[in-house]
Amino acid sequence: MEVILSFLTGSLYAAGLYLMMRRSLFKLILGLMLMGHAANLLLFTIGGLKRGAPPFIQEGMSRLTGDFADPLPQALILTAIVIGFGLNAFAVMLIRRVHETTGTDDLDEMRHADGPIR
Amino acid sequence: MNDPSARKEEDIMKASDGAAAAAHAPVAGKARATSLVLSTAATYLLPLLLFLSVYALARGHNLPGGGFIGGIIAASAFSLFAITHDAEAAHRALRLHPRLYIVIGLFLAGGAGLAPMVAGKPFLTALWADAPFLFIQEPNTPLIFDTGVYLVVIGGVMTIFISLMED
Amino acid sequence: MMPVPMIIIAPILIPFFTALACLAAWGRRRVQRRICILGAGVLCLAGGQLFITVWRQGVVTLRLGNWPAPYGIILAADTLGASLAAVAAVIGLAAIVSATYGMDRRRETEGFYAIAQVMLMGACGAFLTGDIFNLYVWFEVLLIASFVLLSLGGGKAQLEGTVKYVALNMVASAIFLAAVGLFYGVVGTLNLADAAVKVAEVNAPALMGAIGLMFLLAFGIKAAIFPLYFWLPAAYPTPSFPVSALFGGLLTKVGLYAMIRTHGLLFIPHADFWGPLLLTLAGLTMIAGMMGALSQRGFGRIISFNLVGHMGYMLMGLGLFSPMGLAGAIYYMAADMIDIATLFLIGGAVALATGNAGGDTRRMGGLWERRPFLAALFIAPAMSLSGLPPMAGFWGKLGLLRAALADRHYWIATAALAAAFLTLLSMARLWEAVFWKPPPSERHGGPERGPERRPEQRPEQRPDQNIPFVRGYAPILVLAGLSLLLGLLAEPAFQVARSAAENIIDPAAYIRAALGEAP
Repeated sequence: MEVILSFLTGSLYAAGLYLMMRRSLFKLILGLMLMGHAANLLLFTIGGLKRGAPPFIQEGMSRLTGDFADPLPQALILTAIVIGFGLNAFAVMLIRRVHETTGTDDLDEMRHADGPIR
Repeated sequence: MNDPSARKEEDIMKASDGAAAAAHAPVAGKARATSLVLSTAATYLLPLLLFLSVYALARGHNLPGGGFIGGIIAASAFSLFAITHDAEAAHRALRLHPRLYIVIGLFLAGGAGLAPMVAGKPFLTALWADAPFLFIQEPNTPLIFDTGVYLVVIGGVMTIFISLMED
Repeated sequence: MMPVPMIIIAPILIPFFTALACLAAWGRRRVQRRICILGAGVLCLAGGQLFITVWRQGVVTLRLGNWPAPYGIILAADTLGASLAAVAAVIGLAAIVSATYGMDRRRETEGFYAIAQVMLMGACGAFLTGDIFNLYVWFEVLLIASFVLLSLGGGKAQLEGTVKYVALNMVASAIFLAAVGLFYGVVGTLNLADAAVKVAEVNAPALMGAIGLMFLLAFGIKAAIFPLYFWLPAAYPTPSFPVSALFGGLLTKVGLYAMIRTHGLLFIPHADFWGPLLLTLAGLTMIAGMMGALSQRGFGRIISFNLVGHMGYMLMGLGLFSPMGLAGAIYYMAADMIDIATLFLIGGAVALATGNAGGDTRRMGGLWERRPFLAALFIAPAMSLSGLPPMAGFWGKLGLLRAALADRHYWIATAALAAAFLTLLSMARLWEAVFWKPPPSERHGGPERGPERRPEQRPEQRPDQNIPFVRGYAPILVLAGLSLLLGLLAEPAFQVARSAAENIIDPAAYIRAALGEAP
């Protein structure tokens, strides 16, 4: 399972990077989203994949012993998903406004911020 | 959609019902792309999904669910309603401005964090009461916090969604 | 049990509730202004109080949710975090007060005040957290706030600058997150203090090196160090000047702060690799930034490139990683936060006084006669940035140079001196262009003096607008005075920086306070 997820993570990164290299603004945002998913999947995989070992402290014990599924990466992923959700929502709104203002989807035509003034 | 039983539903229903009727009237110069079936279904799905979202919120502490998931479900219900009708109808169904949802939600979440400080415990410490309140077995601050998150998610998503629809 | 140290959470909660109040007062400009200024003022007091507490009692910690130490999230304020939080609060107050006159009505009511408070909350949170994932969360809070502030009421150039900023910073965040994940996988903890203990037991040099590089890349983009700084001059000058001041004062410094914080964890075991790498990057950042500044004609652009160049000094201190070098970097960081913010605020006042919203210095001039007070105020941060005594920048540079020479890093010392000279040149040119040369109406300049493109003139900004005295000059005066004070009180200030640096190099006290018991 780890092997499959590793390849999946790699593919997501590759796809994300490929989309980001395109000149289209929309594809840039899609690429950023894929990179975020890849990072989440990486977190999930690296936390260790275990089945049937919930992190419960056994009767009469004071701390966790033996093998158990680590809940922390999942908490991290949940947080990262929530944050990514907010960021992506804003990014989508931004590209829409940029598209309305500049009338183009091509990143190469967005050079005003690098102009001579300011 | 003029089924009289629909009138007996809760308040949100009434607002949405009226909005649905308005949306079906021909709009000058602007053809509606959504189908009649979908928009009618959305009218009935809205309260159903909202109920589901509250369910997800309430069971969230120890079972899958929680404020974010519940909020997303509720926001998707409102979004579906907004797509099938229009932004105006979604505003009416929401009752309050989405921004107020954010304010109230953040206030609840922040307040739930502050409450234990009054009791001399660190910020965000969970407090659990023994006495049942309404249908809640053990009222607790994490539930208040989650409710805050729920409202913030609805407010945030709808703010963005409606502003994307409007202009 | 120890009494709950309310004070450490105050710098996070105060902006949170202030932002909430501003959001509730949506559309009412006056109410929002008052709430926001009041909140920022209280935040300054809380920041000062926190600093005093930390200085007297050592590291203050708070376990959020009362969870035991390495498992829950902790807040831990040491000298470094507390002092930077205090400085950030003062800069926030100054920028917010300036926004009441330096910003057009639409931007003001579109949520500037609420988002500015969110940004202050993010900065304070990042400075005070003791957990690496929590640091990521605060970075994202800062990021979302800065997105909104950048695009607020945007024109064409502003939105395009925002796209660049958003794209690069989202990439940085994704890398940061992946690095945090890998770090957790290898070290097994996210608590900074716990990690400092456990990282010594990890024997995976290649993996740790890769993680270190990922952190360097992520923080390097945020801090705008050498090969990763190109987004900054495109994005920072485009919003209105109070926003630029907030950004220049807080954002890049938070990136560098994160580097200092994680440096001990990641880099120390392989100091022979990281030291030269960081020093090289520092030198290149300085030179590239200052060359960029000299090639520019826009006020905001010049300051932005100066900001980039001066990040190099802090990176240099980090690369040296001696108590003296790190103390110099920390002292310099506080000084630079103040100076850059002051210069951006002066840029706002200049834009108002000349009616040149674009900040094109070729169309300015003669302000020395018309606004002598403003011109005098400009001298303080300009001198400090160029490293002239008795300003703060001088002592910071001196400390860094001495540290570099003590460790026989002559190249970096040469680069630092050259960059200081170039800064002086850049500041002198700015002074000449904006204040000294005759105003454009009196010049009989040929066509070669004219700009190729007229800057956007916003309808709200009429030429030669009056700057309200108190709201306009007081923030600049306070910041400039702070810079001077930091320079005049260099001895005690350096002591603070020195103790902060020693805490970073030898984190025993931090670990003790954060983990609760002796490890």
